[in-house]
Amino acid sequence: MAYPKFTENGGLMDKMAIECNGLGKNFKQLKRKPGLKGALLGLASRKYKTIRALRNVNLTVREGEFVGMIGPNGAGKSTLIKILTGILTPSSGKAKVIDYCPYEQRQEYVQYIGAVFGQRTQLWWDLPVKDTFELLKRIYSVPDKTFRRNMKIFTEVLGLDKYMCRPVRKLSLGERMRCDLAASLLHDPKVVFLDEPTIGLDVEAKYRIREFLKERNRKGTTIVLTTHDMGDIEELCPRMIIIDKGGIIYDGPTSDVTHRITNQRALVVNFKEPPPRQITMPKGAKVVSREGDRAVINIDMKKLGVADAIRHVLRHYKVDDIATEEPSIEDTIRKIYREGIR
Amino acid sequence: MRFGPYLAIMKNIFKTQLTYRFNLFVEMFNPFFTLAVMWFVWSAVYNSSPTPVIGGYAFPAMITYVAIASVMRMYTWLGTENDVEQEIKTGSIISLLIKPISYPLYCFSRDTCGAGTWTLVTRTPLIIFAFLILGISGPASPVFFLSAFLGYIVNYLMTFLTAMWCFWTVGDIWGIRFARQMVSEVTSGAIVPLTFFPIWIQGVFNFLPFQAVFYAPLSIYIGVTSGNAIAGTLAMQLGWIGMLFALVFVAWHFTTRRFVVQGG
Repeated sequence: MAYPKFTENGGLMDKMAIECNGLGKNFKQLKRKPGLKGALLGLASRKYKTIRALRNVNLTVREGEFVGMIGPNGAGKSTLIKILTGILTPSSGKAKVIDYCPYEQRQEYVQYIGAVFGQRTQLWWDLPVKDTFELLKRIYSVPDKTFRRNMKIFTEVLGLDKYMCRPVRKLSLGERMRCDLAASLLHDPKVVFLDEPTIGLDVEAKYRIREFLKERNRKGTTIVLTTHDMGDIEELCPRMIIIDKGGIIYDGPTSDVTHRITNQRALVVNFKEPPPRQITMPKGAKVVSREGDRAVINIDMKKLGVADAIRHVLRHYKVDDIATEEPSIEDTIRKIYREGIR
Repeated sequence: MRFGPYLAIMKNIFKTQLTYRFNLFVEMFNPFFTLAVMWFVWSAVYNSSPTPVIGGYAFPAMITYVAIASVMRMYTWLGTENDVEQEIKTGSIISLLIKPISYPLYCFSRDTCGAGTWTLVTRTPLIIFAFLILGISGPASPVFFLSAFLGYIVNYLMTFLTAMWCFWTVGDIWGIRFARQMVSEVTSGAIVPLTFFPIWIQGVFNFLPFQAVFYAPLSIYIGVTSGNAIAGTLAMQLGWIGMLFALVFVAWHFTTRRFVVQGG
């Protein structure tokens, strides 16, 4: 799949930012028997079981892309991000990011990347936000000019100036996340990894952060983001990856996933009297659930018009109430987790 | 090698220490209690002794030894193992590993700044008290300060070596930490000069790195080690630093290879 992308001055960016070949990661996990007896037995002998967190992941990302990763808890998203940021060594396969092997050349490599792990902070807990930024300036040797320019952008887009002098432990989650994001971008990294950056944020904070990321991506920064919020992906990422059980089960345009729902409607029917055991419907409609006097019927709009379906129901059954619903994108994705892509 | 980042880290650590002023304030009083106990114990020992000099130490020298040792103790009790364990358990180590700095050097700057601040702030009253009231004497040779610094490095390397255990078994550090500290307490000369032990035990202790932390610099301070013997002591300390440094270097290499971060 090709996603040609243009830089601000019109050049075509076609260099690979990330390449993964057959990445696998196994964890050994201690098997514990429950109860006191199990705890005592654990002192003497221990059994481990192997958990395959990632299996055979192949992935390429071009420079300047904005890729969204979604998947249920424990699917392997964070493991993948940790390998790509050089914190974890894979059990098998190879990864390359901007010509570095992250886990083998970590200390040189991390100069060129930024990362936010949404559930933790890289800010100094006890000190004002400003102190963290000054420290980062020294750690990355950020020139004064770049530092001033970036701080100005952070103030304009994220409204950082209001928090700069407050100790980090006194910030709200949304405020802290804005600071964390800014901190990860202070040194103009080439590639940015964001692990659930919008987790637990309110609408305003989410909006600000999304605007900020869009702007950064326009300037050419490659961004890889994991999230549970499909809204993030729809708004930011032209390309999405669905990960489940340690493997990539979908990698393609986000629009292909969102379009799935545009041809689907659900008809929720409340019958006046108990309907016969078999509700007969024309082709293109399918009864998906029944509970007492209520039934949900899925309609494939490519085969059957919604109006025709309603007319059919009204003509053959005594109906109290009828409603159409658009399935949510979350439902669609849940279906993909369950049934795979078809 | 860039020092800028590490100086900036020290600056932030220093600021953090000052945020918690009360901790520092309370710790000022603690060494007075131990020193009082030691004073009474040694008075009893020397009063009942037929000779005024025991193990090469007269009573005033012994009090000097104990007072200076309690200052040194402040910078040898490092929180490294706890901090590393916490960083791994909570996963906050991630934000350090994705920065272009060396993690061991980060720890060293953090702990050295912490130890320096704590020793300076909390032990100044004790030093003043010991000199003015107890009338202890100053160092017999200024080389003591160099030797004490080398001792600090030896102790740091040993501490970091045990701290690295955290990377291998998360949350199982207490045992190994206390084992090291107990052995250190006895064999380093932190409680009593090593000359108080039987000759053969001294022989064993001299083969351990712990005596390079307390006993080596203290015996220079008191003047038990003097003249050319001082050079020998420094060489011994440097030898331990070299050996321990090589160990840390190799262990760290293997540790980063199989690192597992907790949590999602």
